[in-house]
Amino acid sequence: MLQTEFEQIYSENKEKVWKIIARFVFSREDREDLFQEVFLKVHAALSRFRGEAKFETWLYRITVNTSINYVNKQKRNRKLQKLLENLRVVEESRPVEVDELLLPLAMLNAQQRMILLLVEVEEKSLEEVAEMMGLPLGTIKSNLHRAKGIIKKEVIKDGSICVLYPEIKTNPAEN
Amino acid sequence: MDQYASYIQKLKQTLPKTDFGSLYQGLAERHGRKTLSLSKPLISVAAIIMLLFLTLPLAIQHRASVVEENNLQAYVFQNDTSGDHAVADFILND
Repeated sequence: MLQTEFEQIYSENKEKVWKIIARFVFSREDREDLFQEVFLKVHAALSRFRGEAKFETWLYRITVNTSINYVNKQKRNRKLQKLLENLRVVEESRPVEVDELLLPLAMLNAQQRMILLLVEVEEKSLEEVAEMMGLPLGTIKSNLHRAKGIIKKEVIKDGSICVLYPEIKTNPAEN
Repeated sequence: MDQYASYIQKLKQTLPKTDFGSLYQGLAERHGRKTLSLSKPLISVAAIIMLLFLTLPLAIQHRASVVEENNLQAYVFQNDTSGDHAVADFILND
């Protein structure tokens, strides 16, 4: 693949990818790390793109899968870190700084959060999201319904998340 | 508008900013590191070839010296059989 071709893809799609990632993970470090990981995957997979799907769908599929794997991997790492902390092997971890506005999203699992962001914020159709995520339409609908319920509860009982997530330190939302 | 709808509206309006230029630079650096790590097997193969290249002349030289030694022995014994007072006879009779 020509470097210029990748540069063009990057400049045309960077905002699309950022819009999803920036709300999907909560710290600046994670956002930048994940963003780069997505484009590294795009670069590696571009030669295999046969044009069977729409380029945008293909790009979203990479973004969605990489993001969900990233969060799940982090979750496993955190569990391991907690285990090591209990064994007093590692030093105490730093609190994660998170935008206050995104805190309710932290109550959702990776899949629910991605579905909610794609449908409600990115305004993608349920069918499009099912295709991007490689999941049945019914799964998308039920996950969206559950995610909406959780968010509604969280925005009503404002401020309770910090108690549930003591390791999360809030900072005013960047704009 | 209910609280959920206004929350989604706020989410749509708020997007953390970033510097795409420096992100691209970081991306290029990470890609470079990945390429280097992928070429590790290549480096190993090159090292083995280099080692063979360096040791092969030594092995050939060693083989040649053995052949030369054999040739010398053959030369002595060949001359030995043709002469009247052969070197081998002299040593053995003595």
